[in-house]
Amino acid sequence: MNLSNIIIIFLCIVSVGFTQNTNITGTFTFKKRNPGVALLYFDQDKGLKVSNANLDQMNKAFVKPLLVVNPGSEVKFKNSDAVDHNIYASDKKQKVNFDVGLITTGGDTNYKVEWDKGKVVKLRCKIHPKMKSYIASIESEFHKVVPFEKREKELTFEMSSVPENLDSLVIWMPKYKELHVNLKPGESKTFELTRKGKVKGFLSLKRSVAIDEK
Amino acid sequence: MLKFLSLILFLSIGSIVYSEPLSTPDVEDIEYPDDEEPSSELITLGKTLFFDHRLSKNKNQSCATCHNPNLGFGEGVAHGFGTMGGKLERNTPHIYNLAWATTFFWDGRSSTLEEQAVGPIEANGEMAMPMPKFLERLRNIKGYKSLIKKAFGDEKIDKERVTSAIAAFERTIIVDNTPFDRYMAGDLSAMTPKAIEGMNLFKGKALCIQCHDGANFTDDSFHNLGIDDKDLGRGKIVKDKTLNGAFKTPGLRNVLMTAPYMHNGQEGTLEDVIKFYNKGGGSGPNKDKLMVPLNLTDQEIFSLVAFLGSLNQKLEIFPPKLPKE
Repeated sequence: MNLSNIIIIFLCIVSVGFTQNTNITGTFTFKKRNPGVALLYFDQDKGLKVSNANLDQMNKAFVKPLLVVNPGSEVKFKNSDAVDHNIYASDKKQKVNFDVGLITTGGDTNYKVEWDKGKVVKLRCKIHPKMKSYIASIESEFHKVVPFEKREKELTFEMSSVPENLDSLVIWMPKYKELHVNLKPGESKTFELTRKGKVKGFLSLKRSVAIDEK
Repeated sequence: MLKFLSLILFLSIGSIVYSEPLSTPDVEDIEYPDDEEPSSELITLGKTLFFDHRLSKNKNQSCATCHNPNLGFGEGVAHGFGTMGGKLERNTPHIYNLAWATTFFWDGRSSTLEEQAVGPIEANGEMAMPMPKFLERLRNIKGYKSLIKKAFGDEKIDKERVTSAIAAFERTIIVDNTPFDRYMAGDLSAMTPKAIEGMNLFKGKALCIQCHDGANFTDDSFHNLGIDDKDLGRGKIVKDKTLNGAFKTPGLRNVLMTAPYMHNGQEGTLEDVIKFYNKGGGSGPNKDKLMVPLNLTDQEIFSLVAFLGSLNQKLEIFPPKLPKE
């Protein structure tokens, strides 16, 4: 091994050891109704390890608007409500269909997520059609679920300690066109949020330059 | 002793079913398709289609025949009749405040108003017009061309346009200014003392709010009241025996206008309905565990009826002039 190779290997080790992190600040703005929830994640990132995923039901609602799991994860659906529930999905487009049947008060049931990564599937209850939640099957440890309050037209959120080498961001919202954007440290960008070809809002993202957290 | 009392408290709280507070519906909460409010031209087209009896097989029945605005957008009898003269299998549900609804038909087989609009048009027992024939009939009525052009910019007639227009009109049938709403807005004289007493029973002892909750007095859910008429209701749609005999909770705005009641129209008056609940519902199989005897006195039933009367608002919706052939 010559000296130049040794230097390259040394620099690689040093650079890996000193990978720096960044913070992202984002602001959603909607013209009318918000979509209820948004999910942002880096599709280059494979670091997510979800071992125990739970989704409970309370007060005739799912307690989380969106649950993030790994492909292959086991999800425990719980019912802490005073009424019986049922959980099912019927997504023809993504070819995900399942029905766990009745979950009585205090009961639970397990379900294995066997969909491909990148799919976000809507959950419903056959007894309470108002209820909805989503399960996202992704691999990204660096993700952010953004829940919106009813009638909220503007919301600012933060993603902290995102490694600087991740720059390919996916933005998913129900019924909206999925966005695949590139955001490098130090950049600020604004994206249109569209639904059936019409602009319904905007997302402004600002990423800090790398911060040495060591 | 303390542990025992804690257990009793826990058990009693644990059995309380969450209910949304009673309130006035807000148009800001309506989820229009694609978030777009319909134009007045689309609503006019929808209203015309809704009232046009020529669009049924025998040219004698429109949506408004069963959803009669003079009969609380119901039909006033337990079972109405279809265009071919046959009796309908269920009581016609009213269509007040469906703009906020998430499930349609007694059994919830449609999840949008647009999808729902197709059902009665095509059903053999109702208007008996398969969509291609319906569209052909529509194309032969020349007067519709200008209505459609005003609504969509061109004269093309298709299923999507027709159903979006009917649904757009139906979303305008709104009851949100009743004595109850005025009372909630601060006018304490808007409801009589008897009605206020009834409201408190509705939210308390009578347990009505466990299913008839929120701004539209419905949980949009499905319950089996113990009515034993062999109709499987929701169970047949979702192929789940646990929901056999369960039907959608109807909203109660303008309920005074919508007699008779229940999915089979078996109860003629609101007093009858409350007496049915007072005895814990019917004796049919698979009854919802929320159905329990209420021990309401006749005076309390009287108060509950007074409260339900405070959910009334006169809507004047007149049939439009139908387009010429």
